[in-house]
This record gives sequence, structure tokens and C-alpha cells, in this order.
Amino acid sequence: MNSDDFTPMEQELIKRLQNAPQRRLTPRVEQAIQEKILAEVLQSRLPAPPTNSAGVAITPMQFILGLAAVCVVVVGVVVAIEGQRQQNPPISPAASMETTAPTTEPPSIVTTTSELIETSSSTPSITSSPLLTDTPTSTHTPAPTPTPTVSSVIIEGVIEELSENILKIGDTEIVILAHHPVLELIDVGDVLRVEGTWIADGILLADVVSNLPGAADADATVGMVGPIEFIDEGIITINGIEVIIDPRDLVGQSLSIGDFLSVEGNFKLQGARYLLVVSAVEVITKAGMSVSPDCYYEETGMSAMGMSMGMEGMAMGRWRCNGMGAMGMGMGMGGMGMGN
Amino acid sequence: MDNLTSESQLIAKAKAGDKEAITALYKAYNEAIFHYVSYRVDSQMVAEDITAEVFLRMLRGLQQYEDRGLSFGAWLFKIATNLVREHYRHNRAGYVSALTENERSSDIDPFDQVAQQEEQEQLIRALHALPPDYQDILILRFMKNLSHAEVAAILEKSETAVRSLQHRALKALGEQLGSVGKQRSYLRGNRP
Repeated sequence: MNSDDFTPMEQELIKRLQNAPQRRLTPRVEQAIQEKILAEVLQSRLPAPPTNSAGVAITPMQFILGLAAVCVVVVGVVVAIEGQRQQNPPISPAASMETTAPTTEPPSIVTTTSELIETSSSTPSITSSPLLTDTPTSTHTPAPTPTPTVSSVIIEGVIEELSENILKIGDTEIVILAHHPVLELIDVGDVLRVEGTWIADGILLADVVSNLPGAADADATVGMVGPIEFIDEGIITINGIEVIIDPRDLVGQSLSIGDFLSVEGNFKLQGARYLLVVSAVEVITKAGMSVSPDCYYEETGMSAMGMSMGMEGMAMGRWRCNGMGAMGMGMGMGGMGMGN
Repeated sequence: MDNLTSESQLIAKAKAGDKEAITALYKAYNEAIFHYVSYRVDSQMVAEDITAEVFLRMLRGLQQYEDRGLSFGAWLFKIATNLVREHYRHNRAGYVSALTENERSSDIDPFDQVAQQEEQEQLIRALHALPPDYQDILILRFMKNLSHAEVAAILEKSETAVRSLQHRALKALGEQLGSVGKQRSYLRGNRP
């Protein structure tokens, strides 16, 4: 900048620009972005740091040669499998899963999707080894830009342990992104359905976490009940979780704070924030009316997010309703409300 | 970032998928990138979205990144300027308010905070009234202290063009701030 000849007026403006108030990411958002990046790292095609058994760094050329060798082996295996497929009947989904599951089979693993089977047979390089996707020799290498969405396994079962963002179903440890709002909705004893990818032996990184029974066939993966705590420009807050309802939804247009709702939808990361995008909403009782005794507020103490991020207005608990699923319960209670 | 050597080491590790290196690069640059973006777009939320996207694109493009005269920071700013332009191509809505969700720091005197917010708002209004190139040059050159060469590389212009543009941009900013100042003083009943 010294080489420039600035007039006094320009210098004054430059000083003003240099002293302009610095805007910063809030710690919560900074953390959320960091987690998003690291989640992408986990799922991405970035190769693991290449080292040999002695822990000595391998040169790029050695690494590429190694990859090429692995590629040749895998292509050979695929060709052999394809040949076998043509001779034998198609393998079962369970048999297909064996190749991706860890050695200790969790008792609660129920199934893999047909999508997985199709994927693993048509593009073996994606599922069989993440290293392969970066190899320049593979003609099937997808562009590294999209986040892979193929889940390698689905687990359903009762949560036996839950510690911050790690839960246990059977022998499987399931890791959920640390600030995923679904953590505010689940607890030990809940039945959960998780789609995810193996990141280590017996450890699954959750891509989709569903607290709705039968979510596999539904549009929604998450359901919750509770009163509206805030409404702000189309975003409502229930149980401390931000929920967005389609503005064309007639139910959504007439909501007010205190209305007790049952909602179902999916968490979607919009920028650095998770929003529950609602696919079905039902008003259980309008504000001021008494809520069914089947529904109760469960204290959860300091929320993990609130503690670590110092967030204001974080829910310290959540509403739950005994008995039916969220929407079924909603319909039943709607009838009760009308009766009163 | 202590020095360039450690940065290039970090980049090499990040390319190899080292999470700590990726986190370190993110932590080293997120503030600068967010600062630039937040002065270029309409709302805090959009600025957060774009900042997140900058680092996701960093991750995806890391393998292709090579220091050929464009420093890593400048490369990130280049991604950010492209994303800002993309944002305006898809969303032509005007300036709303960039300050509604701004974080309030508890250790700043409330009066200073109000003064800072006023200054920030005034600058943003004035900047947003300028052509995009002027905004980029003013923010990158003078707020982020990037060199002519770096700004030239980011904006794909010659250094001479950047030197010339910065004077025009400053002049235009001065005019905008002058008019903003007059307008504010009139609204407060202090018209001379």
C-alpha cells in the first residue's frame, strides 16, 4: 500500500475501512461449520494419510502405484464376482452386506437397502474402498464434489446407552454429529432407526437418524410433539428446535405461540443451521387449552449444546406423549380437544 | 498461521485427509472469509451459508490447489468472491439489513457497540451501492490488507487495473458516504 499515492481524503477512507467493525461467526455457527466440514472429510474421498507399516510417510508416487495395484485387484475381484453372478442366482442382500459390515455383527442390524445392493454391484469402486475414488486410473471415479449419500447399513433397535453424541444399539456404537438437533429428541430406551456408514470396526457414522417407527416407508424421519415456543419469520420453535412449515400449509398459517403441535419431517442442514422441514403437521390443542395427561415435559438438565456453546434459549427438556405415534396421537387428541 | 512453511505443511497434510490440518486451516481463515462475505451480502445467515460453502469447496478442491503465485488465503477469497457473485446472480433482492443478527459481545460498552453498529451499517450501505468490483477491491485491499497482486489474481484483473480501480472505488465510496452522512444528518433535523 505504501507504493500508492493516496490523497488525504482517500487515506481517511482507507483508515475508516481498516477500522471497520469486524464481524465474527458466533461460536455455535463456527463449530457447526467445522463439524460439517469434518463430516464431509469422514465421508469424502480424501485418502487417509498414507504411511507404511513402520509409520514412515510414503511418497506420492508410491501411493499412486499402490492405488493402481489395489485398483487392479479390485477390478479383478469385480470381474470374478460378475462372472459368478452370471452363473449363479443373485446373492441375497444380507450376503452383500457382509462385505461392508465390520467383523462383529451387531445384533440389531436388520437390513441393507436394495439401493445399496444395486450400488455395490454397479459401482463397486465406491463402496468397496473409499481410496479408489481418488485414483486417476479409475474411469468410474465420481467427481468429488457431491456428498455421498449412499448408506451402507441400517440399524434398528433400542438405545441402550447414550453419551453426548454417541449412542449404543446392541454392540454397535453410533456416532451422530455433535450438534445434531435429533440428540435433543432421543433418549435411552427409545427405538431408533439409523442409516449410516462404517467408520471403524463396530462404529457407525449416522447419516439419517429416525425416531419414527416405520420411517423407512415414510417421507419423514423425525417426529416430535410440543407447544410452539417462538414464531419468527416462518420458523417456529418446538422443544428448542427450529421447525419450518411450508407457507402454503393451511395449518401453518394459523399457528400461534402456545399451540401444541405434532410434527413430522426431516432435519435439513441449511447453511450452518439444522431446520426440521415439516412434511406433516397437526394441531393437538390450541394455545390455552389443556394438554392431554398422556403428554408430559421431560427435564433433561443442561443440554449438551447449551453447555458447550453457551446458547441462549436452549430447551432444557422436551415434550413427550405416551402411547401412539406422533401423528396418530395427534388425531386422537384432536377429537378430545373438540369434545371439551 | 505462524509462517508460510507451516501453512504449506498444513495444506499438504490436509490434502492427505488429516482432520487436524483441515481444522487448523478452517480456524486460520474462517474469520477473514466471514468478514469479507458479511460485508458483501445482505444478511448474517447468508454470510454464514456462504462461509460454510467456501470451506466445503476448499475441501473438495484441495487436491487441485497448488501455490502458483496465488496464496492459500487468496485462493479461499477467490472461492468466496465467486460464491458471492453466484449468490447475487440467483438472488437479486436488495439490501435488507445485515445487522439484525450480528453477535453482540458482552465485553464491549453498549454505547460503543451502538456506535460500531452504526458505522458498520453506514459502511455496508455505502459499499452495497457500489459496483461489485469496487466492493471487492475495497474490502480485499483495505479491510483484508491483501496485496495488489493477490487482489488482481482473485478478481482476474491486472495489477495495473487494480491500482487504477482502487482510486475510483475510493472516490465512489467517499461520495456514497458523503450522501449517506447528509441523509442521516437531515433525518436527525440537523440540516445546515
